[in-house]
Amino acid sequence: MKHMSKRISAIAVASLLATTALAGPEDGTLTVALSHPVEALDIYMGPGPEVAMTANAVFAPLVAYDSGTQSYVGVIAESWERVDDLTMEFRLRPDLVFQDGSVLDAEDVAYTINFITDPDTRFRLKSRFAAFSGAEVVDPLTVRVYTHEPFPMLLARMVGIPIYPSDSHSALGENYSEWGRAPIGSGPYRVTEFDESTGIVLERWDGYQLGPRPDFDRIVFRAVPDRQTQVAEMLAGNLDVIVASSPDQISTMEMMPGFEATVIPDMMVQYMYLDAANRSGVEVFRDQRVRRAVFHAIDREAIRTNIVSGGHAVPELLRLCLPYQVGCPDGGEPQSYDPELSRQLLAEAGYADGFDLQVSTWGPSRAITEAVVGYLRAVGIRASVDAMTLGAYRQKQVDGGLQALVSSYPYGGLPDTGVVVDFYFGSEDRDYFNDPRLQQLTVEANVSLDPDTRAALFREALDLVQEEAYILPLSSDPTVVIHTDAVSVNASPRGDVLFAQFSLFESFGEVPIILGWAD
Amino acid sequence: MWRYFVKRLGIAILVVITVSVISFGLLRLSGDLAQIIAGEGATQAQIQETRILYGLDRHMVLQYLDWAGKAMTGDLGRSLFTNEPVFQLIATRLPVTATLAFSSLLLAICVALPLGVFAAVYRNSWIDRAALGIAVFGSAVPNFWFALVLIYIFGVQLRLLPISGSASWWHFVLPTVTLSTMVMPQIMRLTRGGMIDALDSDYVKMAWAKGLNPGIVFFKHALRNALLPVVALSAVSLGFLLGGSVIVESVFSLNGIGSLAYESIQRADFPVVQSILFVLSFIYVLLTLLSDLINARIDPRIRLY
Repeated sequence: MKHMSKRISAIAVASLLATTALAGPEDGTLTVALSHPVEALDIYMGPGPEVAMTANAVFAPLVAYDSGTQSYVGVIAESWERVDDLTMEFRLRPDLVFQDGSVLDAEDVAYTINFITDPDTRFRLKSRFAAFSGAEVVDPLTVRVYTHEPFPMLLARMVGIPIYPSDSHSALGENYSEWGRAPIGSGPYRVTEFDESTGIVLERWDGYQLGPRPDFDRIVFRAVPDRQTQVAEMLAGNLDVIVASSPDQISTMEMMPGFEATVIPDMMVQYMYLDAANRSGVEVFRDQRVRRAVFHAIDREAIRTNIVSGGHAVPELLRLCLPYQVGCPDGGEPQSYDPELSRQLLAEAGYADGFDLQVSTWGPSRAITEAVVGYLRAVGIRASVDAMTLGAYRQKQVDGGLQALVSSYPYGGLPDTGVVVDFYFGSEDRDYFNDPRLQQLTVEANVSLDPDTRAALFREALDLVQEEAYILPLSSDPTVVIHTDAVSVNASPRGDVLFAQFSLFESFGEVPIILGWAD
Repeated sequence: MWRYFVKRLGIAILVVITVSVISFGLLRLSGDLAQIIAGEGATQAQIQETRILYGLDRHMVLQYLDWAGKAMTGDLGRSLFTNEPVFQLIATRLPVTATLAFSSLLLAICVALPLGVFAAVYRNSWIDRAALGIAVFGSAVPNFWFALVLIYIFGVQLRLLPISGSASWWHFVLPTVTLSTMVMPQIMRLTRGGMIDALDSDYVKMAWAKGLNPGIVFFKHALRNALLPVVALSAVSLGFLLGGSVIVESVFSLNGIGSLAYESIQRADFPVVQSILFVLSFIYVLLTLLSDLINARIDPRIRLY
């Protein structure tokens, strides 16, 4: 299918040069393809990249993250200060309103946080907000947010918490899931049409107070799941922006005059780990030499540049954390591609004839896993791909059945290294290393509020991961935006993570608009 | 007739119940829902809280009975992904798939029936060969490929028809043509075969001998009998089109029940998958029941079985 589709794309490329009539800024409408339909424009109820992309144009959070300076900037919040280890107090900008004209104040912030932490509120991935215990109004412009324990990632988590108007949202009662079909936010765009079949239409909100006026009068989001259809719609001039999902799609579109591909760094990381704790009974990975042998057998550079979409344009991933995450230590030297050294290490460990190995994976990491298995076979390890659904993978992970895993994780969109160490070592389910020092470092990092102490803990933890060959960072997985040349995409470091992770659009002040019409 | 109806209805109900039990069990066995809902970053304590909040800590039989009891009242639960009522999700998407399936079947019948009749009447002629060619083409060509070809010609090159979406009737033209090729060959070949059998039968020879008008012989005597299996096939095909339009819906970006099923499987939204299976099996069984009744009405001998 892939070859056939590619052929059709190539024919289209060759023969359409003369007939392509690209969409432009004439009517002020930007049309963006979504890979999945958005059933509800509500990031709490339906967390996912498509919902995030659309929701960030409509809603605004208290704070946003500036990856350039690795600091937080106020959006709805004007300032904030820590009252004690469990309390953060936010001072809001005065005179803010929602798109329906109602006042945006501390009550709305407290309502939103109390709604998502309410034990009776049901939504997927609710554990994202498990650290919060609630919020309280101090005065109309001051709100206090409480956590169960000292929570150093409070501001990072706040970036992904859009504020809802308390009156209209609470009026829905138990039918809160209906909110996402006619939502009201304080972001630069308001929803004027919501139809799963025809798409979502946003119009620029003239009352937007939190940042510069966006370029586009209207934004239309259309669900076009099929990659080839996305390409065809772009060629026919019916789409302005698509998010590429494969290197093939990028190369096809880059052949076309009038289209550009922009690579944006993202929070998604592809990684591989081995069962050093021997939970699966595979035994071989108790020996550090075997773990190193496996990692030295893998050509990370080839995987990044050939399989990862946009991988050619992002730097090598040296650690499990990303350089634009708070607290990510510099340096890092993962095991290099050296098949000879790999064979030598295997022989030293008594596995000159290799061993049987299942490399598990699920969802989007399948292609990378196949490549990894190929490299392992080349050094004599009889590896095979164990591809699963998400449900089966989680079950196997909890049951301790993973011998080796190749997977990806977006770190919950949190621009903080704390989420990295907590993800790998903070839970028994996911801990396939059983290293007491790593576990101790994670516990300390999870509750330490001092940035310098945290940075030191992260460095020690991530150095240990590398020395012990527990986890191999394969590649970051950037977002690649394909757009017509009528559209300008500013992929500058400032705000780029937000662009990639949360939205195609800026929704906060002081940071330049990322997407606009080209001059 | 009533006795026959009650018997078929009983079988239909048993099939629906069996499908729902099997699908419920298989989906539960494919992974722990609480872990999926809580997410990969959740601790065991958070997963356990989720399990209790969603009632997943109860015995699987109790969970099934709870689900089935609510399903009888139209409450199919809520999506794990969007928290929306599943009934509402399906009700939003079903009309798109139903429109596509009905229009595809209609197109297939409109093309296949006359072609099948002509192929039988003029057997071994160029018409018969052409009909055979169309049938072979329809059976052999993968519909995703045919869809891309149609998109390229009519959407990109000629720009006559919309490529994706379901905003107007025009949006259904290309998907309908694509999907109809899935069932057209079978209907055409079955019509041809049935007509040939009927035209060779004694009662048709008798009709010719009586000097009846060819139209009456073909349509009243031959076609009526040849249509029996076609009616049954059409009903089954409609069920097949309703449940089997996933690829066509995906290629043409139609937000129907097929694409909903595909998305729900991808994101492990099991309540939605379970309900789609239930609804589709219900429709399928209903259509089969309907075809049985129509056949029994046309041919009274069937009621004896």
